Amino acid sequence: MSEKQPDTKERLLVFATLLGAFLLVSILAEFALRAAGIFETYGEANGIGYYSAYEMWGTRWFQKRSPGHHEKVVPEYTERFYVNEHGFRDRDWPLTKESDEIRVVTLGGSFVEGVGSTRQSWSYPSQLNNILESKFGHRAKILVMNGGIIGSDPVNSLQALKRIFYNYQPDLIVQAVDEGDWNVDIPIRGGLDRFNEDGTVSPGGPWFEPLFEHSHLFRAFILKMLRYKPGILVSRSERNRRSNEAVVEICKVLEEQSRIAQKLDALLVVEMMFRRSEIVQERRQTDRALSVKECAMRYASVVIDLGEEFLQRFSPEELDQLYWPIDLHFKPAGYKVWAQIVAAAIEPLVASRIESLIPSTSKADNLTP
Amino acid sequence: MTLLQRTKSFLSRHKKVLLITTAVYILLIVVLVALSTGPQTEPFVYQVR
Repeated sequence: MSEKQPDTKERLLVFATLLGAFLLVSILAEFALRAAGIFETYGEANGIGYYSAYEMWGTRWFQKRSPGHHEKVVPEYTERFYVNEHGFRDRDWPLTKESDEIRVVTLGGSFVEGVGSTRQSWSYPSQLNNILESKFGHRAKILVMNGGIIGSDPVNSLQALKRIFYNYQPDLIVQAVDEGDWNVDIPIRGGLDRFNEDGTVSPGGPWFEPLFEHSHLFRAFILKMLRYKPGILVSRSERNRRSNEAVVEICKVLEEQSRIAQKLDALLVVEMMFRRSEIVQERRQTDRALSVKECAMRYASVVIDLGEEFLQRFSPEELDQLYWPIDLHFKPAGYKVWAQIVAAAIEPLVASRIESLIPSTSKADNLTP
Repeated sequence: MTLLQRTKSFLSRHKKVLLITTAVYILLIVVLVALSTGPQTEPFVYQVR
């Protein structure tokens, strides 16, 4: 009788065999997922490997690149650019402002910086500079300063404005905001109180991130079963809570920027930027986006809804063609349209500013006999 | 009885449970991967490098 009943040793052996089989299947699945590129992160898809959104790599107050010439090579394109003394992708700016000069600073993240534009002169701030110069160059000097930098959110932009751009006395402060700010960046890094005394940020990622980094099978579990999102890696309810707080923080940033603008006798312009996924998945105008827009309208002289502007000019399919499919930033054509939209929106502000600096009547009067 | 014979006999005794459980595990993985719950990549988590 006792011979037919599996004893403890036999059961343990069955358990161990099953464990071995599971392990083997897991290893095979892991290889298959990796080979097929399933659950690749954005960094991996673009050839720079996995990186944690919770590591700030020595950021102090705001992101900056190392000054000098850079070359960026990703699977879809290569771009070369110059980074100025302050760490921004632009030429060096003269500190002294001339009496007939109009200065515009564009603040934001990688899109404002011009990632994917492939040439420095094709970034949106550079093209905006050209458009404004061709329109107003005969009456005033124009300087558009590119204050956009990859990884930046409005909290960083505010710091860059206070610590760098304030000294350059901009006439127009153009801040870009997008859903990455309230859905990813600020929920991960925190709001205005995120900084340590020295300007560093140490958000601290979830304990399981090393597992997420190394196993695509684990990513399947986290992303599909628990419905976490890559990068932020927190539960849905926690994500919602943090995103709602982020909207409030962005509003505080805009309020502070409008105060700074007043001090500088400058004007604040807010651009509601959008991402390819928002168009593809038809999820523009979310409650949070509308809240940010509403707040922007309270504090900014002009609010530009870029999504709306682009959709007036292109169908979603045409719009999709303006993006690099893997890199997901604009191609040069996208940046060109962006610059045209912003130029059209701020031209009246620039014109009235020039008018207050150099009244046109004086020039016209001189010409009139 | 050699080790090979003992292994064979063990596997044949528990063939059913081992096969079914492993098949269920494989199915679970396939279903998990195939589940569509939104984008897999978060394109905008960047850092300056």
